[in-house]
Amino acid sequence: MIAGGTSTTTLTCPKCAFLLHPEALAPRGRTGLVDCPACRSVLHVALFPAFSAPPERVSTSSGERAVEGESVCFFHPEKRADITCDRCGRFLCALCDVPFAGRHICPACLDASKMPELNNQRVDWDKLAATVGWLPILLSPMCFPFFFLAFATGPGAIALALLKWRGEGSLVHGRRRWLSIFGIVGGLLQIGGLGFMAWAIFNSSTRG
Amino acid sequence: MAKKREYQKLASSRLGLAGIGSLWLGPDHLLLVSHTTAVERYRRWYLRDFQCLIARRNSARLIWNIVFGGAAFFCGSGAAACWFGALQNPGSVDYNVLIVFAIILGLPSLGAFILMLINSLLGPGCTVYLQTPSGLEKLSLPGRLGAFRKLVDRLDRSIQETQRQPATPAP
Repeated sequence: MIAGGTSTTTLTCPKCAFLLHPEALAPRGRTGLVDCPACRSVLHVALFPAFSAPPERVSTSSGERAVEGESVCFFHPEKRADITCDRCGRFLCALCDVPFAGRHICPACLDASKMPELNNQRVDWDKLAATVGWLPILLSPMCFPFFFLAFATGPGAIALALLKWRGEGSLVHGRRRWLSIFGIVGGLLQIGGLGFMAWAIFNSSTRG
Repeated sequence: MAKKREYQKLASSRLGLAGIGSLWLGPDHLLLVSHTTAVERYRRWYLRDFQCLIARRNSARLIWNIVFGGAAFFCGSGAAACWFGALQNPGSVDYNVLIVFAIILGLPSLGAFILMLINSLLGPGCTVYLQTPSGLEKLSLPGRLGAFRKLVDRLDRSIQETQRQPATPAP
């Protein structure tokens, strides 16, 4: 059974949910201008073809039984295969077919570890190394106790930069290894600062 | 040869409750990135699903003008009072102190005034909503009407091309 039909998309005011008529939009470049008659909000609206297009046909079938000679679903050998997975090529029945971003994916491929576009979080190791390397240095003049964090943050920044040298970076900026190098420099400065302080204390105690 | 960037920046970064946000255009989707110190969080909307973008004018520009203008007024009044007080007591110890206070209050006043001018020049504020088959969602970016129009101009061609291509039909 296939579900689908004429477009039923409506345009409503985002503030008061009053139903607006797209025909009432006054053209202004690529957008249309309309005042909501209920709450008097001024709305700039940009409509796209999907607004007036009928909804995509979605199969609500669980799959038909396969007869001899027909291709069968990889996950349900008793059901007829209707489509192949766009990622791995496995045969899929209507039940196993998962429409995703205009493609058809099998349940096994629908996994964040296999499809990067399903990842919704990532650690930016380059930025973290730079932050750990330099934040205590910048905060120390304002609050001296921060300087003692250098026992952990100094070596920590260097370790982060080196251990995650081959790790993934920002999704949009990519790897920014100069930030990791910047973090290593900050870490070395922190260790150097601690060493200098230790030398100064030792020096003053031996003189005294 | 430089690797072609997969994402193009659409809207400049903005500080919000979830961290610093930025809007990017990918090959077939819009990406909202919220990042704190080192963790990036993503939200994607596929261009195929875009039905409409709505910008509702809000009072953000007015509110910030009141804040900056108030700060400029109060600091400026204090600086002016110190300045005139100094002029009435030339040569005294109070003169130097009052001049210093006038400078301390005058600089933030000037800064607040400049911020108020920039805020006014950026144009009216707006809240942007995206309508997809799953409903109406509020986008945290952009925050100005001018930036919204630029966003629509940049997205329009990509969306039209994507939505003209038929999706693989269901069996």
